[in-house]
Amino acid sequence: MEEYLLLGDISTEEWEVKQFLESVNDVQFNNIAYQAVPNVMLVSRSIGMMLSAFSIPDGAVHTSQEIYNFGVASFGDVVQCYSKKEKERITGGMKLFGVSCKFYKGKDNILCESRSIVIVKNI
Amino acid sequence: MSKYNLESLKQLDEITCYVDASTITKYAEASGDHNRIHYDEQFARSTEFGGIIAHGMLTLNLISQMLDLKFGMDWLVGGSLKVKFKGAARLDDIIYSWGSLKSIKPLDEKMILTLDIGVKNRKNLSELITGTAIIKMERSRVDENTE
Repeated sequence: MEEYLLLGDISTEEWEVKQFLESVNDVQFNNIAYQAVPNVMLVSRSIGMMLSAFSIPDGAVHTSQEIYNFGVASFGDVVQCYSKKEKERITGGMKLFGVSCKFYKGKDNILCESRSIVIVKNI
Repeated sequence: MSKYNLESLKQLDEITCYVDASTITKYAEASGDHNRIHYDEQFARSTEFGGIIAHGMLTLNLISQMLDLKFGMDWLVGGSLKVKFKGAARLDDIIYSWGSLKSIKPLDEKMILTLDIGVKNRKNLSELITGTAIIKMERSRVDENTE
């Protein structure tokens, strides 16, 4: 995992998963039945963590997203999110950069990988 | 585990969401994404969007829900997606996900499904997200004789 740094731990208590599912209007509750934490929740939480970790300014927007699922966390697991910020490109008054994340439950149990491209305009 | 028939895979059931301030606030709390473009009207007006927009990941969640509904653990373990954000959802928009089967190919003991996916705005049918999802499942789980 060279170049990836620990962005932080993500708590996945049942109430947190339910709060997330309700916030995205997910009324199917398949995840509740499986006791499975949706990886898209982990990716969503990582975006929030990136804002402060990489000093991403207000007004920055997401232009693309990749998600690769390998496994799922169960309610109550603590997931470690490691991230790597790619080199910034500046073009036409805009700054673009990618952030890749890897989500682990324990040392070797990878759950998910993601890559987000963020654009900051009017720099 | 149940089998999928090919016909049922051609079009996925859409997931719909009404976007209001409460939706955005709840998502910001749950995700920790407190970018002012999502709640500060004055700030949001000064951006290229001219007003408050929903989080991209909130919009993308409709696709994840749609894939979860159809494929369950086949999506949650082994599925992937790659999308571009083409537009933003705004307050009072109704947005919905769509998905259609692009190809289905055997690879060893697996069946590889490639789906075109996206999210549209119900008001003007503009594309907010477009992309592709890939689902891998045991070959024996697809009933190929139902077409």
